[in-house]
Amino acid sequence: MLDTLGLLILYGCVAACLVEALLRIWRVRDPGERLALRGLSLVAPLLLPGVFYVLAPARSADAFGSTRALFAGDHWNQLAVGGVGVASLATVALAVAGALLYLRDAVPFLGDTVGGLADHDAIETHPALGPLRQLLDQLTPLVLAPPMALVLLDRAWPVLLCSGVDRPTLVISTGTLDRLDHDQLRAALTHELAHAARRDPLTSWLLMVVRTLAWFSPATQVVARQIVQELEYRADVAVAGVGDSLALGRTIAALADAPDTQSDLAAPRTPGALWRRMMARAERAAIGDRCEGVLTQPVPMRSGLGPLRVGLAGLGLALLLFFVV
Amino acid sequence: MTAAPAHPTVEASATRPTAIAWLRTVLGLAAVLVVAAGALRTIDAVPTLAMGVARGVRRVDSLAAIERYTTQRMPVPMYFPDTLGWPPSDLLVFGGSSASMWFRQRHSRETWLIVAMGVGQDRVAPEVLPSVTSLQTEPTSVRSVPGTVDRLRDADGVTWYQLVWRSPHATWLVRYRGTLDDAMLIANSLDQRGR
Repeated sequence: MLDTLGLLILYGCVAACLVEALLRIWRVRDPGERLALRGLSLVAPLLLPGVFYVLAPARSADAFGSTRALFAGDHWNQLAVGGVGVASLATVALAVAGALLYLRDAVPFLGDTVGGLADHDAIETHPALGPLRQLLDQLTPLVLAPPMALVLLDRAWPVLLCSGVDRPTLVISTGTLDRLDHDQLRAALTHELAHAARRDPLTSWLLMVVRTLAWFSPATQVVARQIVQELEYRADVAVAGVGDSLALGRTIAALADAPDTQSDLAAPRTPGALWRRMMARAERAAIGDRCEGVLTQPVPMRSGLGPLRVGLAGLGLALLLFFVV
Repeated sequence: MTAAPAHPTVEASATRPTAIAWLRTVLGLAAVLVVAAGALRTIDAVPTLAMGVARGVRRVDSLAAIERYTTQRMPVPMYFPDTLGWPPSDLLVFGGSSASMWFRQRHSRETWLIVAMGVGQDRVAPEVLPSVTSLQTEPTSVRSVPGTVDRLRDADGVTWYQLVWRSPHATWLVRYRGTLDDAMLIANSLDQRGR
């Protein structure tokens, strides 16, 4: 059991590092290609052990680990600390780290799902609803999004989200409307429509399923977070594609500065303990980088090598992991 | 505000890959794979380096463990010179097929006898044996089976005698630092039945 967990954790780490290196060496900027490569590093470590077991059962023999493997986790168990193998200790430590990373995101996710943001305090009549609906309908064809339901919440703090797996819904609060001018609102809605066009809420759920299955793997948890960032990047690129980059940059800055924002366009504020303040500082730096990227980077062109690169990366990853036992 | 053209976009802006882009893609992947393989191999070698054994060698603590890994009974010499100490100072397994027992002289730290086997192999993996230089090889017979006797020199310049013979399912090896007569006696006395 511990050996299997250790192998899956190791596969996750190798896959994440390999894909990160390829993204940098190939200078991949196309959001679709980046997402596909990240997705590969998320799913391959979970699927490949089963494939290898079926296609090459001899890999599990001791002889393979000693003679042909590039890395055998069992070798590290020959070094012991307090009578316990180093590989087993590392597996337990990494599994704890993976579980903490998982809980850090799963608990708020469950809270939002159980508590619900949309339905119970939605405003049925509000003067802003009509123009908002009109703007949303006007922007929908620009990003080829499906028709979206609209939920307006009477809350002083900003809420702006695309939710709904089968029926995309824009959830927005009066606090958001108070803080954004027309251009900013247009950019923000385009961003959320881009999420709906690509069914990103469904992707978020699937990501959470994979994260739950691999709760023990820190690499899986980190890669899943990177995929969420890639989804945001793809939606940002869609806004840039309709010429609203400047407004989007201002929107991100405005929402990030507001207290208690609930939106994918701003990181949550987490004051309190030292590590929380450190995390908040890192998140603010990430928001700054994102604004800078939106404002300064041109809309990325597709290289035309996307499927080839993803295929080659998959083959290379499978080849490498075959020799890791 | 006038709406910008719908999605000027990303789909429309795909470029045709050049030969250089193809080459960079393939070379980039090859470089990453080579570096990753090298890193994994290096990390894998650390424990065995720390333990002073060859890569892939497992140090075990009992004959039972050897037999579990090799699925073969490890023979013990019934002729065992008084000068040698029991139990073995080292028990090594490699690849689930080769194993060796190392015995020290009773009053020193030096290894004097190594008994090894290679299960399903026509040789014993060199990983479970110390490195030596062969000085001379002659045919001989051990336990009524054709084999070879070697005169070897180890890294310290000490001469050893080594007897190797094969059965249908394994190769057996006795390497001894004393006389050839004692080496022959030890090899001929190797027995699994007495255990």
